[in-house]
Amino acid sequence: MSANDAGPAATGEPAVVSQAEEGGAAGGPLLEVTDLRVDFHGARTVRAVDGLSYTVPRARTVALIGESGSGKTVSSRAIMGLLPESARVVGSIRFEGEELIGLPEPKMRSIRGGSIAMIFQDPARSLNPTMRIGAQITEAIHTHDRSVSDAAAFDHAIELMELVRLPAARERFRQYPHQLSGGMRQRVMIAMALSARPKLLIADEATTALDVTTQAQIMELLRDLQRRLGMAVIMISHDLGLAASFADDVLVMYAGRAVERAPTRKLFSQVRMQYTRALLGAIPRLENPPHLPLAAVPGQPPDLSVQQLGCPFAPRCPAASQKCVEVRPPFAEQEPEHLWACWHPAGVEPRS
Amino acid sequence: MSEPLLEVSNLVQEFTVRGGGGVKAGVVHAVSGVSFSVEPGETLGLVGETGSGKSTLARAVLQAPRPKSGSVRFRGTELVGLKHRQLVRARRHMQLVFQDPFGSLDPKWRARALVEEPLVAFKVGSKGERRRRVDELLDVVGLDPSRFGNRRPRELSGGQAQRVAIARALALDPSLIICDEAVSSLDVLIRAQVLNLLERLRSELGLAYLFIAHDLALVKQVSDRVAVMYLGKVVEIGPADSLYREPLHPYTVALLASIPSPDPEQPQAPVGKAIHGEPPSPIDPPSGCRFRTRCPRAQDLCATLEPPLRELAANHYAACHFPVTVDAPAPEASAEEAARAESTPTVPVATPTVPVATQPSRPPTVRRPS
Repeated sequence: MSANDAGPAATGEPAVVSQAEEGGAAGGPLLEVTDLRVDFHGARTVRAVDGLSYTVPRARTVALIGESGSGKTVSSRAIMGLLPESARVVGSIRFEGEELIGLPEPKMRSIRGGSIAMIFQDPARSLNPTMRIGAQITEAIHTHDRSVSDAAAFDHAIELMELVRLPAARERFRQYPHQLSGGMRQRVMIAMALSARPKLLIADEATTALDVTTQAQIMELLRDLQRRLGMAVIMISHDLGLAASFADDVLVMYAGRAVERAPTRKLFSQVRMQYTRALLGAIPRLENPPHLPLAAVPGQPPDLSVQQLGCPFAPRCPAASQKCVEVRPPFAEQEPEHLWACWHPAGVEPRS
Repeated sequence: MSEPLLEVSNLVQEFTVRGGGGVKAGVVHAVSGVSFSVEPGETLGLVGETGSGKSTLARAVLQAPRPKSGSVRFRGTELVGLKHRQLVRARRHMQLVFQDPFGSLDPKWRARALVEEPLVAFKVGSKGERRRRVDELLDVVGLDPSRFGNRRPRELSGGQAQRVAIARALALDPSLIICDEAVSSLDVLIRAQVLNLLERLRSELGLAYLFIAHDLALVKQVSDRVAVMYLGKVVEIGPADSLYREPLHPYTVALLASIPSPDPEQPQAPVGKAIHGEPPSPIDPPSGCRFRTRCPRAQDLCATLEPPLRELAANHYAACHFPVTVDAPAPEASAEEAARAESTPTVPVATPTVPVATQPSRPPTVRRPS
């Protein structure tokens, strides 16, 4: 699998280039997920992630795109070691070369929230409603470094709050989560996530619950922080527009598998996998006149408790053949930097 | 044009918030003097952010709860002040579809019973007639009655459950359906299916919709006209084409600029264009224009005089002293478009990027109030 850190981000600013190169020089991708499988055991065994492989280069933003049940959240929780007991995780997750699967909990705890941090969709539920904002941020600081004095932790917390552009940081320090708006709470969550200077930030639908104008502010902040701190970001979203605007690479998931991956511009200009194509056809666009019918595909995503022999999208796919139902298409690099899993990719002449 | 299907004038809805010990702490001005109309067979989109009052407005239209003041005329009947029994009868042709079908459908009932309930409540037809009507309704929304009729909501997917909610709303032959974020919780592909269904029903049954959503692209997809709300007021209302092509109110401009485009060839959408700050509290809205505290174009006048809705283009109204207009499409957009039109699956951009007031390089034209 290619590490897509060869070229600088399409967004190209000098600062980004130097960080990307610096990261590349350290050797190997920051995160390497190989053949990850996650099964949930219950009355029925549900395979939520089915052979997922991808890499995250240093200081890049990779968007995981997919609908509910595509496995994007489960796979990222597997990285954080946050899955419940009923989950069986196999495969390999290497972070800076170190295998995370099977890592003893104390070791995992130092990585979680340390080198890898995560922010969630609902900041109201992630924050403790009975604790002041400041206390929650300093607690995060102390969790990863007990030697920090209270005064230094206070200074660091204020610094973090200013970093995430929380207005009137010193006043906010003494406030409770309910006194903050949704956008401000998400800023607090980001401040906490950044407290230990993570190398990888996983943002799981971090702006989905926010209004568009607030979402724009938070995404701008995240991008700015990512560049300034040289962090890699895994951005989990169902919103292709958001991915197109903010990610360097996009990985499209369906039914627990990766189905297409490419640098953002390439993916959106040369869609190959039929599912990605369907997704793009199904979003209403500002450019279109009103009442233009959407290109809807019929059917539902597959039942993940039934093993899929072929391509999971085959039953809904307009281009599907018998082969698609029987043989699983490999997820492989079929054009430079462009990987897909499809027997009948769009815009590619069939090989005889 | 004959009488509109729905005519809302000066609708006001306020709630009292109580502080500690039941002391009156303030009044939430949720909807402050909103007027609009919906013609038969027309879709009016209503957009706004959280707290803009769009859901409160929908509920005030339905008289649940009753508004503080104003008028709601539906099919020629004034609903405000109507006695309960007459209200129930008058409201029969106005139905509501909510965001979360699992929250709005009784989990213990089967699909058939859920769709039949409004018919039973209004004593429509005999048992056999109702059964046929229910099967017909399930069929209309694309659910095979023999497969789905006996399922309970939890045995359905989100899209299927929303179809049941729509079938239920259709049961009494409504002329207006209020969709309150009706497709917002659905996945992209399923959402497209349900949107296409709503569009088909509109043309086949001549339905009118009041379509409430926070997603501007989604609203444009279904609407003939669009109203934009901010902090309890309609700040702009006009034909969908014109409103998206030439937004007049700085808030609409900011909203449009905040949407990330699924086309990475476009300038990385929201960067640098995001408006700052957060909406003020509806308990103590700003004087004059309510958007002035975040508006890049605000001047002294905006704080003292509340701008009325004025018709600034054909059928296109905005409440702003210093409205934005876009004169000519940006030339670079069309050139780019032609170059990549053939290979790109994304639809070429017809709308040029709107000059935002924060960009000093391209100042938008200002129309002075006459």
